[in-house]
Parts: sequence; structure tokens; C-alpha cells
Amino acid sequence: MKNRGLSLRSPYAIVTLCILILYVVSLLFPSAWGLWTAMKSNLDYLGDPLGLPDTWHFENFLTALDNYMVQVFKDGRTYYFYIESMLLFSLLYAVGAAFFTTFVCCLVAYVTSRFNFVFNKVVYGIVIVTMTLPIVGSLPSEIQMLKMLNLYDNIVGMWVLKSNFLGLYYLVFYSTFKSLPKDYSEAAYIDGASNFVVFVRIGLPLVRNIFFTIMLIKFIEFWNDYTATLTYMPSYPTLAFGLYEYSFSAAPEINNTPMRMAGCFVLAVPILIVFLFTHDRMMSNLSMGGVKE
Amino acid sequence: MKGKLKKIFAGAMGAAMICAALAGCTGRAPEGSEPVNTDQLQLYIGVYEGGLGSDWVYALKKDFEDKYADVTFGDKKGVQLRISESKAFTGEFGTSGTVNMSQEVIFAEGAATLYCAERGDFLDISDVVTKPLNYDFVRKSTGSGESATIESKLNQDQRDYYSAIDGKYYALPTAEAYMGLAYDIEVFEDNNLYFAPDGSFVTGPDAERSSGPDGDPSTEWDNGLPQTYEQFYTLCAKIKNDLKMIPVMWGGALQEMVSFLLLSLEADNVGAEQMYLNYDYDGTLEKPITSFDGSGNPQFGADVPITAATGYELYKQSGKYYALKFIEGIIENGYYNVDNGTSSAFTHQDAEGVFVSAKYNTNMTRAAMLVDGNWWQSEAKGVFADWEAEKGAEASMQNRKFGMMPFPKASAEELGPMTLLTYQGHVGFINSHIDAEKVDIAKAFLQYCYTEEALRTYTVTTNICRPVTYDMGDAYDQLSTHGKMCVDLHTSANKVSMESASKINRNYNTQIWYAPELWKSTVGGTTYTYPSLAMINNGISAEDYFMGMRAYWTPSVWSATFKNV
Amino acid sequence: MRGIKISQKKKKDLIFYSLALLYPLSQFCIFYIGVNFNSVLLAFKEYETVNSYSWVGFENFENLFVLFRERTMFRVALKNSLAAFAVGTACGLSFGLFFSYYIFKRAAGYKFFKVLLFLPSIIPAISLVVMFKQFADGAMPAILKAVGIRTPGLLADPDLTFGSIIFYNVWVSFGTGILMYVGAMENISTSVFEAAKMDGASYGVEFCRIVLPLVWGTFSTFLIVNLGGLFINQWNIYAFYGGGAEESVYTIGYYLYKESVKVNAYAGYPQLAAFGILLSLVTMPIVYAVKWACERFGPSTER
Repeated sequence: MKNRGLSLRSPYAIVTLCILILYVVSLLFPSAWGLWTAMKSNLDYLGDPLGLPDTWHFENFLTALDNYMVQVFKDGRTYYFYIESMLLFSLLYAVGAAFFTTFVCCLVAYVTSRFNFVFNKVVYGIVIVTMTLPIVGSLPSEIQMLKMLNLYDNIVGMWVLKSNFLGLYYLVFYSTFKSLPKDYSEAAYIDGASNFVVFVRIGLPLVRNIFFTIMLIKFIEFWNDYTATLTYMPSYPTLAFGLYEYSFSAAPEINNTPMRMAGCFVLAVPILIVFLFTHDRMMSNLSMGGVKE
Repeated sequence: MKGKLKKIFAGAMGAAMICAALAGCTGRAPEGSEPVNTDQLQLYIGVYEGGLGSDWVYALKKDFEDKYADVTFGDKKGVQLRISESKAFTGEFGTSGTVNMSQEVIFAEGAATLYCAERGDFLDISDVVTKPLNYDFVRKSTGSGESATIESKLNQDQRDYYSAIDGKYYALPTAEAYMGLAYDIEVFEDNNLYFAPDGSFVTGPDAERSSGPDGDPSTEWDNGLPQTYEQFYTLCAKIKNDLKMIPVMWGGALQEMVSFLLLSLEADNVGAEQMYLNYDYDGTLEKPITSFDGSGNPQFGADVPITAATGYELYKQSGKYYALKFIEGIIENGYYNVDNGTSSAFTHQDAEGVFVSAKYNTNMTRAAMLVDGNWWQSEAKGVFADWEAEKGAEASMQNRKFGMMPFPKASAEELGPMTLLTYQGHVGFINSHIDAEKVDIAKAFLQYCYTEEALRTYTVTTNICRPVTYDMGDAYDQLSTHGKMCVDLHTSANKVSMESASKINRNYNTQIWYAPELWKSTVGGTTYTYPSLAMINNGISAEDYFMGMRAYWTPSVWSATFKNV
Repeated sequence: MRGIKISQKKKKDLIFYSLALLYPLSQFCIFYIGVNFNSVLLAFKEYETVNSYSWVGFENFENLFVLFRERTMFRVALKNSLAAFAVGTACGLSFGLFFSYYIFKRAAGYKFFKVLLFLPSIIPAISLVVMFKQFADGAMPAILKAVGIRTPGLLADPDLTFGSIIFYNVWVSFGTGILMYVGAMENISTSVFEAAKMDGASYGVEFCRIVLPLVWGTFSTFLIVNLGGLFINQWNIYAFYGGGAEESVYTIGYYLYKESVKVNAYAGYPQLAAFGILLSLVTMPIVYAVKWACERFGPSTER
């Protein structure tokens, strides 16, 4: 599997490589700018917004970390949260919500693609209609509903709120299940396996790669989502919310471009680690299991 | 499979925890470094976390605490102010309003005041406003000292606005914020940029100066500043051509500041009463511009009655034209920061930073004037501090010499006091979800903030004014030149606020006060949002832009946009 | 005998089917229908005062048509939304596909590219926009000046502004697509490739004959979702300009978004709700038509 037979002699490969290199340059240049700006002093930055730092202020990152602080008002008391708690809330929120939403999408896609019921069309229709309908001003009633169900301002509530089957990833699972052969499950049915067993033992492993890919995408989406704290769980500030507060802070020590950049890079580090850890594992998993003929 | 997933996230979590451990928890000290004194009653004060900050509350803290040091509240004796800043004290106060907030007295910025009052988040403070300032809400007695009421320090428009919900007061105005032209006094002094009475530039620092835009030589603080647009352009030409400096600078990334400046210019041009039509939609528009003659001179029509239903008529208001004309002169002649005046990479904070720094950093082109709010110095606190660390006390915010320039007039006949257009939404109030036993002490504190003494302290700390009537007395001398000028303008200027309780303003507030919504103009089938960009990028003239605003706001568009008003 | 057996299987299926859908559908009923029902009804109401609206029938729609006729904004925003969709989708999907194939084939530096392509999804949008602005309006003028071109910047030049914003959107958007495409490609059986190799298929032929048909499902799904979001996607205009963008860069999605998030926006909600319904009525048939066309005319999988 190491070599899939692509040699750089193919003109397609060379063209793609060139475009990729261009892309990487266009990406690395601004990122590098961001990174070295994060290590400038503000006066240095004002004098020369583009150039390299006069002196490298590595301590900017520590200052940024020090200034991650969020106030929470609850039951008439004020609490202060620092980066450790925000990290915990971020992980709980992002991992949980990513798992449940992916699972629900997968489950609904599985049953609607594998069983022939008229209702499938309704589910599919719901997904399409909700995708095209812009909803405005539903936030107050959403919050009212969460409060009524006792799900407002807690992380489990967010898992419930986010665990819908609407949107892109239902369609991805749907088309994946549709395109996969039914041989395995039919064999299992003949062996007397129940629907549940077939789903867990055969259906899920079939889409394992897609499942983890989507979950990773969702995880990153939720990780960067500052609105969750802002609107639904004000007592559980996440790191993204911390960054949001940080970015708009008026504190003189961080209220400038270099320090804002430093704050952003500090937050990007953990997610970069998660990505570097997971993407390789996902890819190396792929050839295992019973998917291939 | 599950196990693998667990491992992955355990790994990630571990890595993240290491980051967290490195960080420690030595963040900003919340509520100051003072510990909670459990023997005392705590009163929680919230201040919007913005440039103006909470230093002024800290400045009032000791005196207020001393005042009630010997009073018992249940099993507690004395009161302790706990002060915190948060971005949450703005708009509609998040999705839940103030119900979860622990702060009992809150000083907000950009608050949806009447909406929140009507929703029930603000406590009725009518007694705070109408009882004399020497009435003690805690001791329930009237002492010696200031016998005026807070109400007497408010003007009629403010009284109407702040008591608009069932005739009760729910909030008080806290900051006199306006958009204007900040100027570097050192540049003006060092280069003799003041005008002499004969209209030429002065020859030395002690030479006699003109009477300034208010036409009154006895008000020394504005003497020698340009009186008319024409003089202003002469000044700009000298700055640009002789001094090789930027006459007027703004942050290219935030053009709305120029649009807000246009509103301020408009107010100064038409005066308080006419300007207020734009907010309360009740009155008569005088001298509307109906058209322009062949040589571009405006032609005036008969007065027009204004209601919320006929608000589009306000786009004939002459002040809008003269404001555009002012900016047109600056842009046409390149009297602005041409290099980055439209650059999204140059923020208003960068502009502030350069405005302060260019004196010392010779790589930067120095600017004589900056389009910014009168609170700009507070935003640039960090830059001032950096330079102070490098250059010593002379570079401090207190010692650098900046001022807010009263606007030049469109013509020499209009010389007179400036009209200041002040922002909305800077309000102080008591959280209606306060514990009943703390209401009195909260009222006492809010009241205390409006005593002459506390008002002076506020201005000394922030270098801007509260939009109420008070006298600085000797405290004036403690102010920076910027602060002095804010006070001078506060005392001498006519004031008009964006705050109005008219239904249209309450329901469609953003469309009524937010500058980018107010200068839309359709010229030749294209609609522009920012006059500055239209003039710079497309060469649109002030006249065409003005007529284009009327093309944009047709009667049918107006009535389809503002419904049920 | 046989008939009974089938219906028993069918019954079991139905039970499993219903149980599986129980939670997702209840969640949908509560948090979508329950929550949004009132928002849709708002289209037929008008704002009175705090938390109170009254019925006005189709007045909001009538007003909308007045605005459609008289305001240039809707035309500009429509044009921009369509242009962004066309360019964004064409570039995003096609480049995404080429890049994915390259990575999937584990060609030179594929690991590096994969991480780099994903980088924009990781860096918080707040800082990404700042970096891009500096790049476009700070660095580019300086760089171009060195080669003799004077420009105020990619965003500051009104002729380039919107194009630059679309570029930004495409530029940061590859991460998700590539993960999905590569995921789909990995599902292709190795024997298919081996067979193709034996036939001497080249890189290009293999891509068109084998890979494209097999990722067509993913590709068309992206297309349909992009199309569904035609008027909802605001193309990051808010991240660039907040509530104060020049009209020339408005998209429909941006207009809807900024009007609904501003402070004290309640009086404007009814008209926005009406607008939303109209937009949905326009988009929905298009989405169905494209979906049908994708299934009908897309390259078929020859398994």
C-alpha cells in the first residue's frame, strides 16, 4: 500500500504539485507573518507592520496565556475561569457533541438507506428543506425550549442540541451507505443476526473511516465555536470563547495586533496536536477490516 | 476501535494539559487584588470592559466606603465595593439579560437602554434621580451638602429619554462620547499652525491668535484654530506641503469612523434642535436643500414637517451636504493618509498608535489630526505606557499634548459655539435582580456618582466628561490638555444626543444611529455605504453623493423599511 | 409460507427502523420544528413592542417586493451570492478533488500537503482574517510596488475586493473537502487500481475512469449542500467587515445574518423571515433538480 503507483513523470501529478506548492506558499507566508507578528512588541509592529521583529518577544505567548480569563455570572455570583477549565469544557463539549451528531447522522442515514420505507423520502426531504431555509430570530425560542427541558447552560444540553441529522454529513453517510455492497449484511441476516447486530457489527465498521473523518471535522468545528458559550452555556466558557473575549479585550497589555496574534496561536496549538495525532492513525486504519473485496 | 479512539484523545488531552500546566493561573486579578472582607457588605459594581475602564470607580471607592464605614447592614458593618469589568455589559446583556449577573450597579456601553428597561432588567431609580443629592438612601435622612437633584443636572431631552418607560427613570447617562478630530497640539505649537486675527498663520508662540471657530476671543482654548472650511484647507495644505506630514489620518479598516465624523459635522452645522430631528422625527426641517444650480450652489426650499412616516425628507437636510463638502475637500486634495486610508490592514487602533508614536519613531509619518472618538486616548493607553517606559514622563498620556478640535464652519457667518453630537447607550443602572436588602446601598452609590465631587473625579480619571451639568472647579488644572479641551467643549458647546424615545428609534435603533446605515447613497445605479470610499475610489462629488442619498431613500422604500412607527 | 416470512422480516425491520429514528426525529421535532415554527410565522406578523408581534398577513412580502424593485442591494447581493457560489464551488470542489487524489496516491510530500491544507481549518477565523487582511492590504502593495505596480491592496482596490474575498473563502476551505474525498477514495478497492494498472491506465485515465465515478457521490453531495446554502452562506463577509460592509460586497447570506444579529433587531425579524421563506422557495426546486441531474447524468459506478 505504500506506493500507489504515482510517479512524478505524469503531467497531471506535476501540475497538481505546482498548484499545491503555490498554495502552500500563499498559506505559509501569511501564517509566518502572523507567527512573527505574535512575537513583536506593539511599538515595533506600529513602526513596521510587515517586517521581522527587532527583538523576538517569545514571552508574548506566556502573556497571552496569562490573560486567558473569563468571567461567568451565575445565580448572582461571579466566577472566574482560567485556561485549564476552559480546556476541559472545550474537550467535553467538542468531543461529546462531535460524537453524538456524527452518530445520529450515521444512524439515520443507515436506516434510511438500507430499509425501503416511504418515510425515507420524508427524512431526505427534511434534510433538503432545512438546508435551504434561512431561519432568523429563533434564538430566544431555542433558549426557552432548552430551559424548559432543563438543558440550558449545561454541556449535556449542548450534546442534545447538536445531535441532529440535518445537513451535509447525513447526505455523506447516506450516499456512502447507498454505494456500499449489501453482501455482508445479507450474509449476516442469513446467519440469523438481528438488525441491531448487523448495524453495529457490519454497518458501522463499513463506514468507520468516514465516521472518524466526520467526527474529526465536527470536533474541530465545535472546538472553534465560541457561540455555544455565548448563547447556550454561559457558565461553561470554552477556549474558543476565551479567545473571543481575549480578542476583544480592552486590557492595555493585550489590546494590540501582536498580542491578539499570540493569543490565536496559543489556541491553535492543542488542535494542531490533535490533528497531527489523529489524521495519520485514521489513514493507517484504512486498509484493515472487511471492507475491501 | 473505541479503545483506539480513547487513546487518541487521552494523548491529545495529555498534551493539552501540559500546555495548561505551563500557563499556570496567574491571570489578570479579578475585582482587584483586595480580598473579600466578610465582615462587610459587598456591593458589586460592573463596568463595561472598554477603553474608559473602571479606574474611575476605584477612584471613588475609598470615599464611598468611608461614608458608610460605621453603618450596619444586618450582621455586617460597612460596605466594600467589588469592581469588575466585562464585555457582557452591552447590547441586550446576552441571551438572559441581567438576571444571572452578580453585579448590582452596572455601567454599560452600547446598551439597548429602553429595550432592557422595558423588559424589566433595570430597577426603577426615579427616587435617585429626583431626590436631592444630600438625601441619604441608607440612613433615610437628608444631610448637609449638595442639595441639587440629579434631574436638575440633566437636560430636557435626557429627562424625556430616560423616563420614557411609564414615566419612571431606569438609567442615567454616563459618558459624553462623540466622534471628532483629535489634534496634536505640539505639532500646532512647534510649527505655528495657529491663525492670526487677519487670517494668516501666527509668527510665533506668543503672537495674537484669531478668535477660533466660536468667534469669541475670550474662550482662549480654541483661539487660532481654523474658523472656516477654507482656513482648514489652508492649514491642511501647509501641513502636507511644508511640513510633509499627514493633515488628517484615520484607520482605513474602519471607515465608519469617518461616517460618524460626518454626523458630528452635520450636527455642528445645523445645530442641536435640527439635528435631533434625525432621532425623534418630530418637528420641522428648516431650509432643506432642494437642488443645486448650475455652478453647484445649493438651492433651498420651504420648511418641511417631519414625522416618522416622512423621515426620508431629512435627506434634504443642508448639514448633510456641508458635512460631505468638508470631507470632499480633504479627499480631493489628498489631505489624508492616502497610503493606508482605505487599507483594511490599517485599523483605527493602528492609527491611534501611529498618531502617538510618530513623534518618536521617525520611520512613521506624523499626523496633525486624527479622526477618532474623544475616548481615543483610553484606547491607546498601552502605546502611551510603552513610550513612557522608553522616554520617561514627558511621553506619558498625562503630559503629551493633544486636544479635540472644535469644527471649522462652512462659512464665516456661522461662527459660534460648537454643537456636540453625543453617542447613545453609555448608561448606568441598578440591576433589577438585586437582593432587596442591597437596594438602598446600590441607590446610594449610583447617586454618589453624580455628586459634583464624584463627577470631577470621573473626569480627572478618564479625561472625558459625563453628559450632565457640573463644574470642574480647581480639578480642571489636574487634567491633561485633552481632558481640559473635553471640559471646555462640554461647558461651552450645545449638545444633542442620539438618544430618543421615538418609536422609530426604539424599534429600528441600528438604522437610526449607526453611521454606515445613514450615509447610503445611490449614484448612477450603484449604492455606496461610505462617502469616504465613494469619493476616494469612485470620485463621487459631495453634491452627487447628497442627491444620491435622496435617490436611495425614496418614500416607498422608507415606508417599506420602517413599519408601524 | 414464504410470504409470511417476508412480512415477519419486514415487521422486524419496521421496529428497528422506528426505534432508530425515535430519538433523531424527536430531537428534530423539538429543536427544529418546535423552535423555528414561530420564526416562520413571524413572516406574517409585525413588531409591536418587547416580545409582542401582531398579524399583518402578506404585508411583509408586499414590502419586500417594493424593496426588490427599488433597492440596488438585492440585485448586487444576488449577483455576488451567485458569483461566489459558482466560483467558490467550481474552484473548491475541483481543486479539492485534484489535491485529494494527489494525497490519496501518496505522491511526493503528500503528508506535508495534507497537514498544510488542513491548517486554515485549525487556525481560528478571527486571526485568519487578520492575517489575510495584512497579506492583502499590507504585504501585497509592498510586494507589487517592488515590481512596479501601484495598488492600494487587494481588498482596498474596489475592483478586486469581492474577488479577493472569494479567493479567501476558497483558500481556507480545502480541509474538510479533502478529508472527505480522501476518505471516499480510501474506500475504493485496491483490486480496482491493480486491474487498471495492469491495463496500463495512466494517472489521468485512472482519475477519470475509476476515481471520479467512485467519489461522485461525495462530490455531488458537496455540490448539493453548497447549492442549498446558496443564500445562507455569507462567505465570511461578516468576519471581514462586521455589520458595516460596502454594498458592493454584500451577499444575501450576509444581509440576512447581519440584520438578525444586530442589537435590538426584533422589529426587522418579520421581514427577514418573509425573505427567508421566499429564498427557500426558490432554492428548494433547484436543489432537487440538481440532485436529480447528478444521479441521472453523473458517471456511473461499475462495480
